[in-house]
Amino acid sequence: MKIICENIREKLAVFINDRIDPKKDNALIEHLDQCPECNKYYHELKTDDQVLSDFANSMQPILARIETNINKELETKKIRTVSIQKNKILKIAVAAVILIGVTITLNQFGIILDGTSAAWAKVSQIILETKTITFNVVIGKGPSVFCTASEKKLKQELPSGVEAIFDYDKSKILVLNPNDKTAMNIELSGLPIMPSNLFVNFKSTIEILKEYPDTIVKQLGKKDINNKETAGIHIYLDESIDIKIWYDAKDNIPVLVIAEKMIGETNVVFSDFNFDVIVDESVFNLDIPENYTEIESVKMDLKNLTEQDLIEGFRTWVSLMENRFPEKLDLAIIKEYSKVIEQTLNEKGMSDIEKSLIVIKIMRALIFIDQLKVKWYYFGDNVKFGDANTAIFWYQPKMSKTYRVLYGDLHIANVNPEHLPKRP
Amino acid sequence: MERCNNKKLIFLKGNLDRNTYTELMREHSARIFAICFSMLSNREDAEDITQQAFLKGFSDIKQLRDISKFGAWITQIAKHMCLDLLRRRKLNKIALKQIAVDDVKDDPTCDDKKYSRLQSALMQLNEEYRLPLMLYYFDGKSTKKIAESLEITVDLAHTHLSRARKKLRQLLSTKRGV
Repeated sequence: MKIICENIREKLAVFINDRIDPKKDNALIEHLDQCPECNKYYHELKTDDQVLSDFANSMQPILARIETNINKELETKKIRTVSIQKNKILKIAVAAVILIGVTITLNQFGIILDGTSAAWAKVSQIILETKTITFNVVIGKGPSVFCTASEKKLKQELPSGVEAIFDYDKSKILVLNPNDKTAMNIELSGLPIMPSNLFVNFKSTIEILKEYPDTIVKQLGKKDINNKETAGIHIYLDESIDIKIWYDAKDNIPVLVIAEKMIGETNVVFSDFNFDVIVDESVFNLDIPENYTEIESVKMDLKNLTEQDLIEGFRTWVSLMENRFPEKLDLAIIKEYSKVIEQTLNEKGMSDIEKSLIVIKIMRALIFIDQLKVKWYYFGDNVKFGDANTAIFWYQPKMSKTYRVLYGDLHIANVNPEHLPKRP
Repeated sequence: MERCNNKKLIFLKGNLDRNTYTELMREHSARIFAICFSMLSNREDAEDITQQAFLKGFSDIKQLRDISKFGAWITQIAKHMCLDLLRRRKLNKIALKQIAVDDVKDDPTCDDKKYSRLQSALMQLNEEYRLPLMLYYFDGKSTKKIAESLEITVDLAHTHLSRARKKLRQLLSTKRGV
């Protein structure tokens, strides 16, 4: 090929790339008229360009579909994800909701303890009799949170300055961030069991433990904590409850409480107690202070859960458990599998919030089932996700002649009683 | 410029709404899809990862301080997801080229069948050539844009495009011959 042809072809490619009409270049046109080879090359370039353009255009419906799908996701559940993700303080609120969820879980357990030990009797009495309390709490590897609690209210103050006020009667949470003067309201509704704060929950656990005959109480000896001579007792019942209480040897007032695996696999440590302190009610005021801006208001309704929540919960579960369904359906399963769930989510590189939202999804499904007022059947154990022929769950809605049957691929169908699947 | 400033303002307030994000998505989705398609050699996966990348982008938007960096930022998210998928594919020992050529499914929304030969040839190009070509055709047909996206000179973008077309033509005529 002549050098001139080489130059012309380079130029033609640039013209095509930059969408310039070669007619604007007289020398170019002149050459194309005289050189059939270059003319052919030019037409090939144009054809290639057209084919590739057509190919890219053929993908337009896909791009439109991507956009529609994303918008759909954002409109529905994801929007909450986003709201939550975009504010750090919401993280705490979500954690709080998780805790509330966990209190529900804990309530599912048959609980523990006895009062044979004199020390235990005195210590538990102090815990049970207090109406108001301040203490520090550390959940897992989290920060130390200063708490002020009454029977139905709780205020948490984090080292960052962020405060969260929980009013359990009103089912409301107010989160205040003094660093940027922002406030956020969270409203919870439809919880199957009215939640209480972590300390009240602990208190009720102690109450039941005290009356339970099989509780094991062991002395742990003595040690100095913050220059105080303390004695320890270890109270436990099988694997579900395991609490160590270190108390002042002189007056039996608890100094340090370590509740092993109180939330899933996570330990909760309470310390720096002040019992029966005078608490001004304004501490729990849910009004947004004047100089604060409200940035978010979230409603979490657990009352109107639907089959869709059930399906989503199952879908989430199988995605975490190698396409296997849970062997049983009750709230305790989250606690039982919390380690596996957490490990899997960690492997996926999820943030704490993402993890929390995943757990909430599973919880919503379990709460949906918990709230069903009719008998239900579950045979999902050993069924693999995707099995469209095997029914895993069914129930007969009130006033309905047919059953709602959910299959292993998570499609749901109305089935007449005579055609119900045989139980395995 | 005015629009960008407004966006930035919305951003700084931490009140990014869905409409603003949709606008950003429209601006960048074709490019992200082109990148994913180019990296994954598979249209369906590219579609999936593009979606996931934008959803993750929305979730993590707070991490982005400067709206003018959205393009680069979302690209990084998408590339990271593609690499992750490629790693998983490698683990599953799936031959990538095989997916590209064989995975032509009936999808009423696209002309996969019509373009299956072209797709197959595209996937045989070196990524060095494939990516500029796809960026060019999917994202506004501008060499300047490609150069910016790939952080190369405009001249080099021209060269890559020309070589990509040439190689593609060779591949298609060889196939035709067979």
